[in-house]
Amino acid sequence: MITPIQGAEALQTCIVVILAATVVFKILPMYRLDCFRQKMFQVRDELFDYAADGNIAFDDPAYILLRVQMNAMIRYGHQITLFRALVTSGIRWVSGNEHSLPWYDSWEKSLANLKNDEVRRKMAEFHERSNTVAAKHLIGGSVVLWAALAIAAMVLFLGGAAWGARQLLKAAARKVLSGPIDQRLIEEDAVCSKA
Amino acid sequence: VTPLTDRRPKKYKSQEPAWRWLTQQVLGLVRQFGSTAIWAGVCLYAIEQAGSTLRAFAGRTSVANLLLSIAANVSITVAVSVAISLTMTGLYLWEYRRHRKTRERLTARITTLELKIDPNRSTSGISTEGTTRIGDQ
Repeated sequence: MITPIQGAEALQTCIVVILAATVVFKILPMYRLDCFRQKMFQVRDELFDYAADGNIAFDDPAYILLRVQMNAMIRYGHQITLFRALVTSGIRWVSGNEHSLPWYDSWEKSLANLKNDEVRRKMAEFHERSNTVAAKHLIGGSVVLWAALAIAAMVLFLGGAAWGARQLLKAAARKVLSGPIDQRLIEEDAVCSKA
Repeated sequence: VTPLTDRRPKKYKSQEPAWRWLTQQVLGLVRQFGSTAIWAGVCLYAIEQAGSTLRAFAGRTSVANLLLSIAANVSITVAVSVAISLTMTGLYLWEYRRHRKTRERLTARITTLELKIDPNRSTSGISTEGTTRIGDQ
């Protein structure tokens, strides 16, 4: 026979479970996506200001490609997930298309065509920053990738890497986002969705 | 205000096989509704459990007695935690709505100003409120 104390505990548990599920499956993804877009807009605005200052032409292929990439990331930020990354990777592998990176190849070429070394470095830095934002968004949304990140960081630490926590996490993220979840595929997937 | 479309001539266009696009769309739908389905499943299970708990008291006590007994046995820690969580969630949702309105107000202005500097300026393609467009979901 159930007592009022047990009944109260059962009802409390049910309410807490419903609230927790709502936060985890509804509120948190909404918040994370908003943060991701905000950060990507920030990088894109800085890129615009950099071009507006006359450092690079607005019709330079490197600028156009990087802006297209950032726009695609912003638009399809809700699709940057471990599941989709794995699916994309699998489909590319099945179709024998895993080495085809049209956007990335065009980007590399346009970057190499930049005459000014400082501009090239700065554009590569913008690209790196947008990729870092996307990587954080991808890893932050997956418990599996959190675990993989922790394991990779531990392996690097035990391997004798004398780095600070930040550097260690960056190197671990690079290790995690290689192989089947190649980071270049994420941006390639986003740009392909937009095209 | 110039329409929010990508007016720049496409210098880069990738080719994607139709079957791959279709597979991705199907799996994308699974991903999208999978999350909602898990959420709905958890909520329904919790509601069903709450219902069976209440049913266990059927015929043994009055509704008023039951409610009083349960209220008297509610843990203060859980009650305070739930109240704080609900308040915080409500505040976040309110702020989120305000943020969307602010973005909508500023987007047109920023676009107009940036178009003066770069007439071929391309856009991200999300809504003016900064949310995912229905067609992109």
